[in-house]
Amino acid sequence: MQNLIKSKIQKIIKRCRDTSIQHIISVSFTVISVVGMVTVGGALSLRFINSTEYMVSENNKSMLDQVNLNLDSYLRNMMKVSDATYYSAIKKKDLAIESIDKEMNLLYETNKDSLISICVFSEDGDVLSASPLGQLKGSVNPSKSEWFSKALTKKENLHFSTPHVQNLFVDPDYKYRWVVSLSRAVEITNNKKATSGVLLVDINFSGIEQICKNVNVGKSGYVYLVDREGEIIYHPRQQLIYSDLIEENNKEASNYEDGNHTETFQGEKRLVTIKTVGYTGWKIVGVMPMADITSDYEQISTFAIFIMVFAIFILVFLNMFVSSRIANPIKSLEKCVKKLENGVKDVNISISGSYEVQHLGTAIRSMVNQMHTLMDNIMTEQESKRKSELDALQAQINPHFLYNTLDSIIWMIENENYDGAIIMVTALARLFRISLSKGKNIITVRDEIEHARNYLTIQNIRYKNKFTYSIETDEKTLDFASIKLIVQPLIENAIYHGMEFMGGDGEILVKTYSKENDLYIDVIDNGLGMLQEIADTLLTSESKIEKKSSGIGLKNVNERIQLYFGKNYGVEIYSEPDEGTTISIHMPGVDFYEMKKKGELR
Amino acid sequence: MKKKKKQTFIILLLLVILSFLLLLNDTLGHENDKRTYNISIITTGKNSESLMIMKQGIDQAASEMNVDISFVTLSEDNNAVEQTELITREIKNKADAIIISPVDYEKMAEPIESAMKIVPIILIESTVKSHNALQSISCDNYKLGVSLGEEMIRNGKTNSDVAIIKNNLENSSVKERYDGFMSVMKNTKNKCVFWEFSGDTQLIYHNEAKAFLEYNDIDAVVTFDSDILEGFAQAKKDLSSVNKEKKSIQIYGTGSTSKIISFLEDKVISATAIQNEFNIGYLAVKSAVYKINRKSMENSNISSTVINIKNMYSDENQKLLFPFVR
Repeated sequence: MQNLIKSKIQKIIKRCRDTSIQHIISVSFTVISVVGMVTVGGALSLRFINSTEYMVSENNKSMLDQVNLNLDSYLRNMMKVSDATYYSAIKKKDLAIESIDKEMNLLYETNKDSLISICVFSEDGDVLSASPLGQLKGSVNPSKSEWFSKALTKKENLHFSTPHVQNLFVDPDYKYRWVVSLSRAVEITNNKKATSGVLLVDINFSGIEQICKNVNVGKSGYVYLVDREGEIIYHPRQQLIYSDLIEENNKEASNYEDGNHTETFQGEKRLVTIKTVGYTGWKIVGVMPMADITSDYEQISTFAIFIMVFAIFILVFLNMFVSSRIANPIKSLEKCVKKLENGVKDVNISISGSYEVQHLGTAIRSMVNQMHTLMDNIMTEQESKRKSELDALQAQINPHFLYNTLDSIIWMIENENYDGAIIMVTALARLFRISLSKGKNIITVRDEIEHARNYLTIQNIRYKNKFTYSIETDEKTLDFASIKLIVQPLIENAIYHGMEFMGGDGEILVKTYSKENDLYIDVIDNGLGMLQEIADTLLTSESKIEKKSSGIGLKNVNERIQLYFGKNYGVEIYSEPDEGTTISIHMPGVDFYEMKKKGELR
Repeated sequence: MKKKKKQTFIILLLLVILSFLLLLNDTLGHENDKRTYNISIITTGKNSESLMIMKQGIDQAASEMNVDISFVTLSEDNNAVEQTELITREIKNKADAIIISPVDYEKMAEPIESAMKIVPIILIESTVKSHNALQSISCDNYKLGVSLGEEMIRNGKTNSDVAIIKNNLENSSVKERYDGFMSVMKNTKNKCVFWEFSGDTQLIYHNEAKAFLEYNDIDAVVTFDSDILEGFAQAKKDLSSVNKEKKSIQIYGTGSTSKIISFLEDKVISATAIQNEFNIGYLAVKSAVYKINRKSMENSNISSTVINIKNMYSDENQKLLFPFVR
């Protein structure tokens, strides 16, 4: 398994490595932009959600505070009515003697909108006084009511009941009103005897309803009211709850602390805000379905997704465009290079795109041009090398020289000068051996000098000692490498141009030495010499003087040296009329055997 | 390479279009929610007092579900012809659905079936004779009749003269109540006297009931119509002030108008069987809206109960009897 994954990853990496620059740019840009968009979008929407939730819950809280304030003042008002009835009417008067109807009527009239009735009951449940005045229904026994018993069991408190139908008095319109009963135990002075009784203030339920009804908590949120035990006092869909058509989480809600809670009720997540009303212990419960908040998010998030997709769409195209702008010049350049690789000669290297790529293009173009000239140069060089080698080869078997020499030998033998003939033939044989030297182009200085010596020997005999010669060699230089047959043409020149007119006192000196690690071979004669200006032209221009020689003259020697060792080396001519000429061969001082080891010989 | 480019282009374009559609759908979907429905409600009679509670249920549902309700009453009680005309009129008025309480089990069958092909129709309280099993939103009327009979037995009327008012038996709900009640009576030694009123106004009910009670010596009266119940109660009250004997006549019936309740409190009426009318109204509108949107709604049972003076102020019953006045 691990191996599989590894190989897969490697495959992907390999594929990445092999893909084009355009692909890499466009894909990586796109990935980055998509990741960026998603992160930014996600972060923003998360922030949005958080702040909205916070705002909504704060909003709900302040809304409930407002409801609480209203409800509290409403209930306090009712309690004041109860207090006023008790302290300013009931306590002050003996009910057996005086009537409190006037005071109660006044209180009732001033609070008519929010009251249904104010009544005082005796301990047994008889009506002592009531406002508005009404006839107690025959079927009703107030002392059995909950509010009555509660008031008597806890005398010091005021009691708020749950909503119920007021059924105490006969109503000619058959109206049944829902009320919340505020009851308290009172002390009644009856015939100067203090007895206890119950004071009942029936609060019109619609007053409470009005307070809670028009509270808007979100789109589909609502506010309801429960008492200490969780019984519903007010609910916008109260009748539906009573009819079991819907349910409410009121029992749970009564256990909540004040503040915000989230709960899941009947599969619906909702935000519940609780506020306890002072004194009564009622709780205002604000319910807001989470869907109200989240439906907003959904809309916003779909919008955000749309924007994101749209932006990604545009970005991808932008990336594609940019990457093609970057990559296309490189690609065309690469194509040109590929053509070059395949050996196509006339490639027009494109120069386009950004500055860097343009620079690359021009550099490659100039490189190619340079390469072409270099290649041309090499070709011509090779050509001339071949030609000069051929020339040298020809020189090895100069028929004219051979014929003259053999002629001399014949002549010697005829004159019975056998010793001379033997010397001649031996020298000739050696000459040819060296000049062949197994077809090698590079030989030791020793052999080269030997070759020159043999040549000089032969020529000296042929020219009947018209000149003398000497060879001075530096021991150090003898093992250096030298190009084959470069000294002999110079000697030939010296003999033809220097010695022929000398009449016996011509001298030729061949000298080898090394200076600053370079090898020098000088051929010095004391012949006619020439002007230095003429000498300087010998190596450069086509000189007619050469024609007389064996055909390979100075120029050939110079060229061959330079072809082998470079332009720094070659032949130098120093001459002065009537003084003589010095031709100096300059070559690098390289040990022949080392060269051989390295295999640089040809 | 070019083909691939084209492919990515097409895919991305599709994505953009898709997201755009999503956006569009979202906004359109929200608008859809805000549609208001026009629903007409056709009653069986001209008296809307007995429909008070049901109307509250209807209003509650209407405010929750964005419904415009038009409440249509007949100019005459239980007039099948008029009701048929009203159906056609309401369809013409472009009602999205009609909630109807059919006056006649047989006569209304045909008009309702033909109207059903045009608009969704919800039956409440009663049903009509039809091959299709038409569900009516109502309590179990047979059981309600049975409960009423059992209440009577509980009050000791097992060997008495019982007058049964047979008005409106063409109405299926009344018929079922009657059948339920009769099934209990069969097992008692009660002698049943059947009676039918000739008119259908409150005054006639009152007068005929008075005459009937005055000249017949009976122990109990049973009626399945709230108007007749009111008539009998009033008649008994009037008579008992003159003739104390008449006070012992027990009156049983159905309905929960405030008059009936006050009669119940005054012990004029012994017991009344009521159904949760608020729920009927609420569920009728709800199922109409569901039907308009072609959604199915589970059947919910409407509760019914028999109320007498002892239990009328119990927590549950006072919520049933006295709806909050809004």
